[in-house]
Amino acid sequence: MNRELISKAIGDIDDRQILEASRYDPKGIYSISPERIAMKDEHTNSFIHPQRRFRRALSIAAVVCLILALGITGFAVYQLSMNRREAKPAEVFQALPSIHYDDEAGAWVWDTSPNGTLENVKLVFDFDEPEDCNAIRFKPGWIPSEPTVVGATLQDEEGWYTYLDGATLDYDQPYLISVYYASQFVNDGHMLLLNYTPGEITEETWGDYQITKFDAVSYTPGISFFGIEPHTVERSYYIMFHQTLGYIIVISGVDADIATLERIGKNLEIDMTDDVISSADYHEYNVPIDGALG
Amino acid sequence: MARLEDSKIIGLFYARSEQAIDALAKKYGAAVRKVASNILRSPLDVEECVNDTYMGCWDTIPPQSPAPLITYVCKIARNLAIKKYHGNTAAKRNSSYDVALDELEEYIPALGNVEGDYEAKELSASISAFLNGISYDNRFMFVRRYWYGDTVSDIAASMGIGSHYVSVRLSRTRKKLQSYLIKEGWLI
Repeated sequence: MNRELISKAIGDIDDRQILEASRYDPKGIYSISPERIAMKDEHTNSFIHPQRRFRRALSIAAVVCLILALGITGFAVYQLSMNRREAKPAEVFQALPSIHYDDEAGAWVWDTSPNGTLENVKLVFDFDEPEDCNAIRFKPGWIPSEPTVVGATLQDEEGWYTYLDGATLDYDQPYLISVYYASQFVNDGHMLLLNYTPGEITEETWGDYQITKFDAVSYTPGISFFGIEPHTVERSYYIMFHQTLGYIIVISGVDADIATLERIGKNLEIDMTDDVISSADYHEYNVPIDGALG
Repeated sequence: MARLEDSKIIGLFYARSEQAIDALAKKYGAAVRKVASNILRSPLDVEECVNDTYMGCWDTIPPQSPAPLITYVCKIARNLAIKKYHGNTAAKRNSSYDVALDELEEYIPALGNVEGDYEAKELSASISAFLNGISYDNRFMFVRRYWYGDTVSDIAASMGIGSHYVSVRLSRTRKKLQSYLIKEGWLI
């Protein structure tokens, strides 16, 4: 037991020290500055520029002023909406750029159109507002199995998650919980269902949540590197959109029934942080919610 | 073939392109294999660990956008290798990592206050603080030996110094760590 604890404790030392030792560099060129580490966001595990942090603080102050100006009653009745539609024929969405190796040029080349777009999208989720959402983190009250792929989840030191992947080393993914924010999509962005064709879609409300749930099927050409053959994947979705706070929790799972996903969703403990997800940081942000596997 | 910048490799992952794995393997495959083979003895286990590491990256990028990528990849590889290592029977143990753990265990024989994950993380923070207080060379040797699981001769070769010198420096660092942990109340 002592041996395992030593191993674990050594394993969790500061990332800077791991990076620093990735090669012998006594002049310290191959290291990151302490300032950069100091600004690491404790909830999202990402680095935040000081100016951005200041802007976030201003955004929070602005939201508080808005709430006071509107009055508590007026604010309480206002609800945000998540608009769902099928993609229009031939509709394409700007994707993060893709890249290929050009043998003739002997270099990696960034592709623009048409490879820089997402096509044959199945479902589109649009949001008109708000400009800012407070980031949330969550703890599962119930999950069908413990996550097994090390490094597949985002969890802070207090045990709160911002992303929880139940994937197994057998490439099964019984559940995947991810969080998005309406403010990420208001500047011509969209939440997309890319490769999965949905069956019947049901909508309902549960407290402050607008719930969208459906089963879907995808044909995947496989991943040759991993020896995964082409196959069909059935995945279910349980999407929870908070109609006043603007966050979206997408719960999906391969070969998982909706009731299981619903149980996961309704047992989540949510904690709102003071970090603000601002629309100013996102333009044409098109995110497939298909899930990492399949 | 050219090696891609980290941001471009991450761009490939976001684009869900298989070339992401190819580019990752080309750039960091050797580092990943080295970490795994330092901990695991069986070549089969090492290969499985390497592939699982790539799969772990495929699974987690997005939403993660790790910077620096090498630390992220090596941490996944180490975690997977450690998990497999502890799962293996004692008969299979004989790796470089075993010897490294033996060395540490000699100086950290009984951790009095460590019971759960939280305490282990606190202990990690103490070890990190200790490492910040020692010289770069000593820190490099320590992390290469006990995090990456390198052999003493590997470390000596990478620094261009003798193995005996590395052994002596590591031994002194372990003693200093022991004193530090006693002072911090970790050792009984």
